[in-house]
Amino acid sequence: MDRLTAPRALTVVAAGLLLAAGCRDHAKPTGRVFVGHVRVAGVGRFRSPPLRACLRRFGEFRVTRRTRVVEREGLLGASLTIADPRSPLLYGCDFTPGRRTLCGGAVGEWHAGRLNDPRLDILCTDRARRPLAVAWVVPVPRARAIVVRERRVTEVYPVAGGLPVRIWTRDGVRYERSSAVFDVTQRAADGRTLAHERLHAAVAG
Amino acid sequence: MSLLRPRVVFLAAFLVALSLAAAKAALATFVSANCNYNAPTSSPNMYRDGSVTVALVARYEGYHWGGGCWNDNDVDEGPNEPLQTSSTGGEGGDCSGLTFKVWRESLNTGDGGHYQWGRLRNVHGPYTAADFKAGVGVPNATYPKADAIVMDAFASSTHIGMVYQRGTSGADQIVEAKCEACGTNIFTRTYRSDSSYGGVRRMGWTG
Repeated sequence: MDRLTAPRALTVVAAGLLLAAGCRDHAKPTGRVFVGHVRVAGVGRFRSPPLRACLRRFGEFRVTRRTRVVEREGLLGASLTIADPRSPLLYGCDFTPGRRTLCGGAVGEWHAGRLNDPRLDILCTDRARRPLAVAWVVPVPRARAIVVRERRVTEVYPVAGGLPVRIWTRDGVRYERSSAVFDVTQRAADGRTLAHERLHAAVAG
Repeated sequence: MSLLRPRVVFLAAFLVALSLAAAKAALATFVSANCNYNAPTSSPNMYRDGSVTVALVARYEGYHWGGGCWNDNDVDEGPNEPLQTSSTGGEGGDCSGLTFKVWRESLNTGDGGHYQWGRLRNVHGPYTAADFKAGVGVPNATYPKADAIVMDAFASSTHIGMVYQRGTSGADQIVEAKCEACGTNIFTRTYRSDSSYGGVRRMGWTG
């Protein structure tokens, strides 16, 4: 999406250090480790084509000065998570990596730090047309990074903006069953594992 | 005494096997006990009346978040499930799963063909209500609500229901999988005049 900014670079470095610390823990990363980029801002600070595409898709969403946007760019794809304190809904848009075209999205019920469901999206595909799955994870208290393990790569998603973190998997997709499984570890700032789960998510609602 | 011992052992083993079978049956969900993952049947034609029939089979069969499998005995065999939990394996579809099956869509979002899914085929499909609302997928398109007729749908970001009978006073009869407590049924709704709902049409009807 946009070029790497200083805060984003700091976030990436911090997440890398955090992951390195976490390597001592039981949920060891597999293969290559990729740390995703994240940027948080009010909606006025973003005027990127992906955000415009996302707001077009969710035409009913009313942008206010308090609307927050978390923009992520990772190995499997990019995403936007949009929330406004006046709305009980959380909006997400998913984009193919590189191509940066809107390929999927999600709407969840977000209230008092609770999300009704991971809001799985299986509409995006990689360059080889293999399906990808995207879902939200709600960080536990003190979590600073969400680590998602795939067979050959581990992706780190820095927690940001006080919002659920939109994560991706390719290995865990069960397309015929409209579901996916994510291997998720939540890590504290010092690298400790706070939670580990195999998140089972289904397309629903 | 020596003759009795094998009989006692056999009886004990039988009782253990019986209790294990009972425990397994008690743990089985509606989906694990009844549903399948068979391939759908492709059909060159698709009629709105036929889709109404598909929808009516699902009526009274309950509601299951993320679900897409039901029988046809007018009993919800997975009642009182925890709200918005897909893992409990209950009977029924949710709103988007019901729509996917009634509209006889493909798992391939680029395929606009017609696919008859068995009622016990556990399939939800790749679309949520928000996807339908946005007209995502080749078979689906946004459509003016004022022109919506039988088997067109009204979708919001969190729900979708199909027109069963068009109303004259602003309220339509909608066939929908609404919630765990209300199940799948025909309800009178004012989605047509509700600004949070948009019109959606399944493309490719034969008639």
